Amino acid sequence: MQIELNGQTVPLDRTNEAVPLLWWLRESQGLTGTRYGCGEGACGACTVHLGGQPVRACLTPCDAAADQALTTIEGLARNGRLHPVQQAWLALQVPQCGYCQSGQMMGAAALLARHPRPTDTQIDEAMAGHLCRCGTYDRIRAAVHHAALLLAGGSP
Amino acid sequence: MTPQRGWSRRAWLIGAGGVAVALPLASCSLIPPIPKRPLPTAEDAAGWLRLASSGRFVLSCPRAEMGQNVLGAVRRLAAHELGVPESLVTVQVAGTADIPRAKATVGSDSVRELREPLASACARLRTALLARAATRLGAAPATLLVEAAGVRAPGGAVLPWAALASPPLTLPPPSDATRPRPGRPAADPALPPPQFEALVRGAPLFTADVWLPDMLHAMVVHPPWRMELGPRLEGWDEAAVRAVPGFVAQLTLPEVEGVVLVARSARAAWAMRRAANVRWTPPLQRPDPMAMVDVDRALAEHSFTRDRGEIADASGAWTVDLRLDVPMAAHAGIEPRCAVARFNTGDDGPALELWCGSQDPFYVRDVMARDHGLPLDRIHVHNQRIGGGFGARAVANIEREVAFIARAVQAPVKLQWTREDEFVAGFHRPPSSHRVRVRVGADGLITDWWHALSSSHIIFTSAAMPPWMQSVARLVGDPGTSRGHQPPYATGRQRLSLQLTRLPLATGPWRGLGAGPNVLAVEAAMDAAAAASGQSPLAFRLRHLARAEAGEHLESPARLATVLRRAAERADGAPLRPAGQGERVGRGLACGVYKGRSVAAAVAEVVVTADRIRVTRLWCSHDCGAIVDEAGVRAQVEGNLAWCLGLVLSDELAAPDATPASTQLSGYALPRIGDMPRLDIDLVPSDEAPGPAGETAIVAGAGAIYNAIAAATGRRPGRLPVRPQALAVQPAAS
Repeated sequence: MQIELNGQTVPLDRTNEAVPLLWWLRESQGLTGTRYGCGEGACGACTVHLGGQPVRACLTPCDAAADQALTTIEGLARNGRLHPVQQAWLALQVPQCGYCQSGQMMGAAALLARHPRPTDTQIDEAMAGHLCRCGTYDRIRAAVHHAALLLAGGSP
Repeated sequence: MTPQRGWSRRAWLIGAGGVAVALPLASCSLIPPIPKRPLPTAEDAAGWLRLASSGRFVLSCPRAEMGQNVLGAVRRLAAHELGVPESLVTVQVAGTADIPRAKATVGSDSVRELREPLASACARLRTALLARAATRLGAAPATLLVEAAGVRAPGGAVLPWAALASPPLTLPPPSDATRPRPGRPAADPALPPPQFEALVRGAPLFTADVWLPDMLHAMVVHPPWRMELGPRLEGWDEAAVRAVPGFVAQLTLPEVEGVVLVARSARAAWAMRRAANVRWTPPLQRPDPMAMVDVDRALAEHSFTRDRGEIADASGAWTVDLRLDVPMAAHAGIEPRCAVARFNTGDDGPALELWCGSQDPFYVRDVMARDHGLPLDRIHVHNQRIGGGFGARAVANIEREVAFIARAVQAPVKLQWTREDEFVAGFHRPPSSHRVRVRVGADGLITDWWHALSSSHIIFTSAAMPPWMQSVARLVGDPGTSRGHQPPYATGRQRLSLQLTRLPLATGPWRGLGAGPNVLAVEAAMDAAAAASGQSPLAFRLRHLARAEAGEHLESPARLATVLRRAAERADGAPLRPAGQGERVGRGLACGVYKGRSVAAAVAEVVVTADRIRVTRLWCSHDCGAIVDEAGVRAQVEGNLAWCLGLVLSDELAAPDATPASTQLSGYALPRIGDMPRLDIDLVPSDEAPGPAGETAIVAGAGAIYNAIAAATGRRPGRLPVRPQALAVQPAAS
């Protein structure tokens, strides 16, 4: 078994089959950008993309990712260039403490892949499972719109 | 090497092969260290800043970073004073070995307290650098130009910063020539705040991202009830725990409440926790903390911890008699606590290193010194970025646990608290119960104001203080619990009664301390008094501010009146949302002062239906004095307004059995993105000294939302969070 992790093929040890992706990423792969917040899929801080879909790494066992493409926040930038979502997050200074923001950005990137020009309602629905205790929601909404413009090649 | 349950720590160390631990035993003081809160001085600040051999200025920030962007604020101040671009200054969270002792990051006072010492240190460094450059360039210091690349001589030669860095400089004493530069620091729009690039890339920043060689992973299964209530550990499934691959140890330690599990990996520690099935005998007494703070009980017993002021005819008729109960609430920062400890052998260097996210790393160091009998200079606390502080990280809990565990297993240990630990072993905003009685005279002015408040401790937190110590502290009340208790208005006669009761769950600092609930109660009563006397909420407040006297609780009534007018005007510019079928729409106003200095006012618009209360608009005018980091202050206002939604509509940690009813985030309602209304934030320009910005808007937004609900429905709910069912709005006819 193997996983295509951020574009690299990584073998998956059988002893890890039932281990949640979150701990495999953090411990075995040294990718600590995927964060532990609740362990029950309630906060969204551990969101990664599996086969292009956003999933909660704390609830997804490694074997569910076998032979699939797995993207983490560390793999969102391509060829040294930040993903438009990351660019927007920087431009609008979205983070406060920042702990939830890896998951927020992964959620936003997945939303934009489905809906390149989302409405506020679509943003609120797609991001409803991402908690931010600092209260950065207003900027998240604005940054998703900003990223949509960047994706479309426009200057916001 | 399998440690057994029930062995004492010392016995276990001997059982582990008689390896001597080269540490003296902990001293036996029963008195917990008291946090020291020294104000930063110019001399301290000289130790925060240096020019590195790379040619970059390196600034060790004496305050913790937990999302308030204090790193960005001090970087901007330093760059301004040095006269160099911000991009030339590297700023980092200071560890205890980096700088002289510094005060905790609490009370939103960093910019106010750091600005002058930092400016002085920068000016002195700049003076010293110019003097050195002048000697090397053979020019008078006054003729030199400070540039991004270095110091330029009149003729055109530039001496790069790196060349000026060595040998280390001696700073001149503070003098007139080293006074802070005039002018306001300008933002560099192209430069993201410190650590933001790492945040968006998912780079390591938080304590859980720390990895040490040969590090073990621990969990503590905490008792569901505080040990002072008397729960008893019955046992756990030891064989199942031992069978987990990666098992290292399972033990109890006298200093750690709960069962300690140690593993080779985090995943194994989780598996051991799931296997442990720890069983406790509940304590006999398990009172509901909400019932314990019932204000009417305190009133009936005529017993208050503190009772100040007098009113006329306490048993007479009141214009307003409003009760408001505010439940206990969790901080619920998204980062569960984590800490890493390592004891080092050898006579040099630190004997104990600790990685944690603390709002008070120097206090943590004091606690470590007491716990392990070590001199302060042999303990290094490496403070990390905090994934949400809000007061939760102001005491030492996980830090104590991890150090005792590392000492017992003689290896570096990472201890991860689970979400359950956060609820069960953390501390919380105390519940509070308010009765505000207001009498309004024939002239429409308040003649008597009586706010009885029953709650629990905040600054004298029961998370760090044993019961006996808290009863001593009782003599002085609790300035945290009573923050915002005193209204900013002229109220004629005034009585403020405060009852403090130690609760079965630990209570302590939470964003805004008592100010959020207290000012909400004040503002709800003001609205009710305005309505009862036929006056507009704005005019009623302004009349009572115009007569208010300045004092420690309110430096400037005029500034408060100004934000009130501004917020009201901005909201008036937008028409009220028309009510749809089955909807009630209303707007409410509130204002307040935080720590006497910063003021804010807000207007909320709400739409109430039979099953939902939705805040659709929030206007907030905010005056926190001079602003260094405008984007950061704006973010703090946004965050506080989100907390206001929570305070009125969702925050509730129920504990009817003296333990949290829910220990998961899925069972604890927090505001979500779809709850966030459209915001209009108005930062009032000011040249006054900087005041608090991190907690101020919480005193305005919550009252505005509550009063908007009252305006929409005609009801003033007696308890928070407000549920739509309590408002009896009829569903739309289908």
